[in-house]
Amino acid sequence: MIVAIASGKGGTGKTTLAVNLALSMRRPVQLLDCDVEAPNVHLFLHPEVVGSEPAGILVPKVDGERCTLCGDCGELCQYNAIAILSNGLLVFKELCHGCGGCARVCPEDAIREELRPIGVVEHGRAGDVEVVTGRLNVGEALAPPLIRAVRARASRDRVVLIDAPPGTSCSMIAAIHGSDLVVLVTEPTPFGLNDLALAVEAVRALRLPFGVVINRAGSGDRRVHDYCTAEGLDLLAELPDDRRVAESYARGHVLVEDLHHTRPMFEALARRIEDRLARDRRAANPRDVACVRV
Amino acid sequence: MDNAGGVEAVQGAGVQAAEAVSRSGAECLVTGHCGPKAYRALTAAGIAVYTGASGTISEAVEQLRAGALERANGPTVAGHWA
Repeated sequence: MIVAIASGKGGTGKTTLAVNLALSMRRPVQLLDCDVEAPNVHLFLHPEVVGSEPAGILVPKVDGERCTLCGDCGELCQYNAIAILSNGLLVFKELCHGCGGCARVCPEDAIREELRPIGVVEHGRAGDVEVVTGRLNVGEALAPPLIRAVRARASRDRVVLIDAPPGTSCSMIAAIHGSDLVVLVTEPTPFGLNDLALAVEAVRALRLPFGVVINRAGSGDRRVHDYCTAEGLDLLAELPDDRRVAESYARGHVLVEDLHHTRPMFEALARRIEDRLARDRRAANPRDVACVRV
Repeated sequence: MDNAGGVEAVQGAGVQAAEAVSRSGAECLVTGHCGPKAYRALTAAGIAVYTGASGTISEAVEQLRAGALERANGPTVAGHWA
């Protein structure tokens, strides 16, 4: 089971939710920090890192002896990563998105692919929680290949929680793609509402099951609630605006351990998510229901 | 010269423009500014880059012929991701 924690707007509480949910689920959890441009799960869980591997994209390496400057590769490349010049060919590795198309279309078989590292994938443990973190190298503009490398480590026998990057661009899509449930975290502000609506559009386009969590409830107005009602969205939880939560977060503490009054809230949300996953699974697979009835 | 491909490019517009200049058979380029990737491509193609021209295109060509333009020995502006 894969549950992605996402949002349109940044700073709504994705990491807070992901970390505290990880400690509130009944089954063993693996937490994937897919916010590779600014991973921060480790600041709260302090996992012991047991391994770290470089991840990157395959970029073309052209054999000048074989290349006839036919231009097929440059023609195919949508990112202008290959310049066909009058006297030779030039590869701009930093523009390449690693699709591999150039190597496929080359009629002379002159293109080999080589790995260009863009970051690292670290994995380790924090108590019972498995933690995998993607860390993009400073200056890199292309995050999705690294996010996919983090996703590739998803466990088959644990509940996988994904801390997604904010926004609705390629990075967010790469992080939530194929998940069983997307939890969209928002706040009751005009900015929160605007970006929630964008995120809802994105998950609907991907046909992913999703629900909404309103964080800092009571701090703004009712427009996010009205929007959720009008759109018939599954409101999974409302987490009240609470200065003690902000203080605890700022100190890098885990809420369910530091502020005991928050524990029932996250456990209730974890149950809601588990129930929703079970319900969606039954709906998708009615034969399971038949078996249960027998 | 048509540079529509470069105008519409999500990235690598300079590379695209440098390719077009190279295809045209030009030996030198008079331009306002030249970014790092375009400069690398133009240099690899053996095309000299000149800046500092003013007025109409024919005036710019005259300035080039008269040796009044400055030859760039590196990119004159930083890339977008720098």
